[in-house]
Amino acid sequence: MSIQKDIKELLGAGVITDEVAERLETYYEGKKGSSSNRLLVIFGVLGAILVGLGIILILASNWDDFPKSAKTFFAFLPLVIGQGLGAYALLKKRDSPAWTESSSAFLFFAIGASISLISQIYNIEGDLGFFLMTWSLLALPIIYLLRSSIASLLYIGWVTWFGVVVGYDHSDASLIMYWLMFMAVIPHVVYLFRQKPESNFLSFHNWMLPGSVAIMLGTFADGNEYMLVLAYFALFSLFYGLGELKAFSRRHPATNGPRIIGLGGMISMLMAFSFDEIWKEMSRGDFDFVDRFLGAEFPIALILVGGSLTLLFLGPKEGQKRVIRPFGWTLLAFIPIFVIGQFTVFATLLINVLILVMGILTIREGTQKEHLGILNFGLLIITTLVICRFFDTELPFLVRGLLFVAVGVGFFVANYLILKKRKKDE
Amino acid sequence: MNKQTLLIIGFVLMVLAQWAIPGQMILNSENVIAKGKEWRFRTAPADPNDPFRGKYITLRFEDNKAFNMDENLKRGDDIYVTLGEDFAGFAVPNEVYSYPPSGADYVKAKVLYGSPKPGEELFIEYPFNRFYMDEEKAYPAELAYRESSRDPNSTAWAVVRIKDGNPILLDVLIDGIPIAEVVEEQEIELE
Repeated sequence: MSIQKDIKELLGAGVITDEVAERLETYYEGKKGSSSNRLLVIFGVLGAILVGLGIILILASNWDDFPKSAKTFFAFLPLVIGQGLGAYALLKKRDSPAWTESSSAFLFFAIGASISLISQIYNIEGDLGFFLMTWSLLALPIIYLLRSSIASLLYIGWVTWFGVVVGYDHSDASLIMYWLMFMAVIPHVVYLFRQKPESNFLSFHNWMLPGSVAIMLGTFADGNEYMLVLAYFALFSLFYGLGELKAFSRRHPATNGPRIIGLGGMISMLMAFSFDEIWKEMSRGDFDFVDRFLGAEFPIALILVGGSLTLLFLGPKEGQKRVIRPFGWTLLAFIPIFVIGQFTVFATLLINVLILVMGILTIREGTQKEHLGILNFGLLIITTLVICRFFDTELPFLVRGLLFVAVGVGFFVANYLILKKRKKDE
Repeated sequence: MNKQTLLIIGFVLMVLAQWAIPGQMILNSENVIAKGKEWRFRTAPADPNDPFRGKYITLRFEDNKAFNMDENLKRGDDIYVTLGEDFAGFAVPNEVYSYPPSGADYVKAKVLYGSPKPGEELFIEYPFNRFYMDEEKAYPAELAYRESSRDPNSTAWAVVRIKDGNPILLDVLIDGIPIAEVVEEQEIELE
């Protein structure tokens, strides 16, 4: 391990004493232990999932040769094995993540396998939505009994799938069940925040939960889909605001699912709305303006806007002063543009101006913090805007070419200046 | 009661629930098989693939229209279809209701398509339209069915037991021979 070499080197150079060297070695030995435990958990879970799926596939072949009683026995066998492993993990290995997570993963799939196999034996059709809902509800207790995050992640995935089937396809199940089932996993996420704030499982949850909500928001469509535009933008702004809270922002940036989904969502929507097609459609005026406020979409949009603005005023502070980054303000600018867009295509120009302003503010933030990542992100926003306009404006090639040159030069100059300033400070 | 005891109780309850759902499916199905009336429905199939439940043949039924006796129904609505038998002993749907009719044999189904008013015919989607087979037999079975449906002297039908409107599909036969046997005979002939 490289840290061992470093310790020897520092000891040899007289930078650290023997006592410090010994304490460092003990500390890193302990950490190595926990990282090999992590590998065991990962491989244990993968193995359990593969074994579970493999059993399903093996039993599915040569099925016709078994009498019904044998088929029924095999249908329950994975479930019994999974429950046995879960019971052992609960009673004897509760502190071993390798055991609790692997047995949870196996039991999760065994539940679905038993119901599927019985359906097959009796040729029962069944509604996919109800099947997924039943499976998820039967698996929910595993999360809390075995404190299993794998079960939790699988549960969120399955509940989202259920929501998609009920909300976008057809099922006799109720969409309210999605939201209730979604809320049921929150206590486990709170537990992870409090007890295991640095865990990778928490990072995965930070991606899956906002991802699931973003997918499901569209199910509120009730004939006034344009109002969902505002709802989605507010949702992404809300996620961004969440991501700026200390609970999320103090961890590694790549684990900050809400911020990345929020930022990515807002920028994607802004870029899409920088083209005039959608504004032409929205401002056509061949339907009653008042109707747009009568469906389910408007109250949902209002709630999300309210939530996002509340976070704006609860966000991180530096001393007494509220710190709001450029994209924290975007929703406030988007709302009036959206209202204007109900009547005129002029909103297209305003969106383009908004994107340009966000890009410039981001560049400015990057310059002030001497942060190359933020600076280049701002430049990337402006570059993307320029590329979008390349495709849909009537500007002569010469002008477009000069624009690209200007942005490219901007990249070089801005990065050069920051690096030069850093060198000077050193 | 300490935490460990609570966890064990919770685990036992979870295990019971996980057994109860498939167990109930088995009990309901066996009850229909034991006490239900047997019907034969003339069929004409195709063959898709469900990732969770193995390979199956999707069955379409020749006699799948009946008169709507109730309020306006739309696609996907639950319906109750009264059944009779034709001269050859095959099931034929008579009338469609939005509630279980008393004093008649009926099967629970869904509206396939059409938004008919009372007195008009509508198309029925029967719930027993999947017959699960060994994955290696499902495709040859479909081919055997296509041949049967092309041949005017051949008839294929599904054997279904129905009790209180709940159906269980038992088998699919071509000219009286279970389809799995038909496929096996064809495989033997090829060898």
